[in-house]
Amino acid sequence: MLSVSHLNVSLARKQIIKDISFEVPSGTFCSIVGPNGSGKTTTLRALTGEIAYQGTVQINNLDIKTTHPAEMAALRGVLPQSSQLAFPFTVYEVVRLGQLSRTDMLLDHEEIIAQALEKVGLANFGHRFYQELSGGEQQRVQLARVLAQVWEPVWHGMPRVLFLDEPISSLDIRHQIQIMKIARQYCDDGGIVVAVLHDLNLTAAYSDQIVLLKAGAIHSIGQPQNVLTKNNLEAVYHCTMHVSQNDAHNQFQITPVLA
Amino acid sequence: MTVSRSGGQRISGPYFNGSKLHDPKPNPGDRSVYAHILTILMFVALLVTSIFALSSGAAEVNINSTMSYIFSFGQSLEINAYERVILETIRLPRVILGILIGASLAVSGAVMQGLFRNPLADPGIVGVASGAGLGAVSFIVLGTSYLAPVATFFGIYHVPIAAFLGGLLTTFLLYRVSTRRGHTSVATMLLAGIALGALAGACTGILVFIADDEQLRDLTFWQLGSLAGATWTKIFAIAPIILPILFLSAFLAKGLNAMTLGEATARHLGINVQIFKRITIIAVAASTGAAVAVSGGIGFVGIVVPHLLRLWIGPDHKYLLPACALLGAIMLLLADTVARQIVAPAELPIGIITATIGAPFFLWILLRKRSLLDL
Repeated sequence: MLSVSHLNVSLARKQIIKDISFEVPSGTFCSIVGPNGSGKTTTLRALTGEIAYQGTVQINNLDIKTTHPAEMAALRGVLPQSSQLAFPFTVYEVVRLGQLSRTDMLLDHEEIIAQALEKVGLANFGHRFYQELSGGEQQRVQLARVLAQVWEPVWHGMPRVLFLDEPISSLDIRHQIQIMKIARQYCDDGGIVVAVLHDLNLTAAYSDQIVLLKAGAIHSIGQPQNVLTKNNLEAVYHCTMHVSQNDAHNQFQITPVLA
Repeated sequence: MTVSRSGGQRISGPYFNGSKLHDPKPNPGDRSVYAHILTILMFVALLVTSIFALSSGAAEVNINSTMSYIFSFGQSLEINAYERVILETIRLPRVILGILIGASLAVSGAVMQGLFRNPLADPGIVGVASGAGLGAVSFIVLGTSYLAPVATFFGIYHVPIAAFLGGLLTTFLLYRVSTRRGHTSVATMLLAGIALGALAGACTGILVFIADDEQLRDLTFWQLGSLAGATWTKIFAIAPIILPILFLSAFLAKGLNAMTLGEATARHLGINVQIFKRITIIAVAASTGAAVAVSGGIGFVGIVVPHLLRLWIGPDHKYLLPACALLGAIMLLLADTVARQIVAPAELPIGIITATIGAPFFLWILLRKRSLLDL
């Protein structure tokens, strides 16, 4: 369980995040959505301990500020918005970096690396140089690296957390769905996913819980159908929205009304 | 594998439930096998190079005598007294010093490049060696006057310690200046390195100005970089600094690998970044300081060796650092042997040779990696 209480973040004396509190139980796919500048990435960076904040963030009752980095690494993986590599690693070697803090001797590390690459659809890319891949492929390699770090969604009886910062923004539609399915599966197997997302339709289709941010505060929180309503979306995004339930596919559809 | 949800309902996950994907053959992207082979080959090459270096020089000591001397651990009766003196008092200390310095320069280069996440960072280029040099020169020049009490207190270690402190201060300043919010700017690092190097150079200049004739001769030779004047005393002064750091570097490999993804990600991967950075900076400064203290400014070994090895075995520091130690030692021994032979019985400062090969190589990397500079 991830619990966030009274999270406040100030950057350069300006309060960016205003008193956010929420809980994400195990097996939950939680998406953070909102317009540009609403504090999505800042919230995620606070939750991963990258930036200073006031308030409490706990994963499985461990405060992330006081827990040793190696212990945190066993509990949660973080996929940044973009990653740069300083040296010419192969794809296999990048994914192996995900395991550098895993000390359990009994684990089949090679098998996890192979499975992680297979999962993101890059099974035959092990020997390729990371720098020679396209942006979308690099993003998937990074996801494979994070998956290799926290491969088992439940570890010693505790759910692990995957933090994904705009994981699908540089991908084509097929791979967007693939990544969303990986995240969904992670939650179905008992883990927790906290993702910053922009695509409202994919968010609605795959998430269990949505945190809709507006100007650094929670505008509304809950299940997709309760949060992604016409009224909420129009209040947050300031454009006219059309929200419908497509009966044929039983899927939620959110489209801006272009006028 | 099945995992249990909090509600007690058991569901099967996709984790190891089907056939295994990984084939027992090494993964095509895994270069650790090459790394192991190359490391063994280089170890053999280092032995061969050492024997070659021991048996070549102005005085004649034939290769058979050298071999029998080494393989009997100095107990051989086949060599004459003259050869024994040449080997024991001149060449053996020089070869051992060459191995220590070469390994130390290459490893500090690789460690610093890992810390700054850039293939161009090298203690010699970014001013750390100049800072260490300033520390050393101040004791060479002032060690008998103003700084005499300190020099006496630290005994044979006073020059290495001064060099270490000079290197430490420069590395620390450099990191503070060029790194903001976990991002190291390469352009800032190189330019700040030039500035710090120039400042240290100016202070060194003042000391050179007040030095007497004998100190001046020491200084000139020392500034160009040389292994001449290798003695057992010098080895005993720096080996206790360099050897532990070479071993420590094995423990830095994990952190350096994590750092290649950036500071934030290194933290997410379980590295205590602040502590790691501090240890790394101290290690680089100490080994650069020790090397500079006895051999002066031998440049470019720390750039050329790690770069070549990254091309061959990849950038994984677990394999890169030991390989750097070996190749650095080999390269420096070869350069030193050339330096001793090329104008025998006189000799060239080794720094001239490493710079002649290294500077064009540095330019070549710079041109290939121009985009990295984002100037």
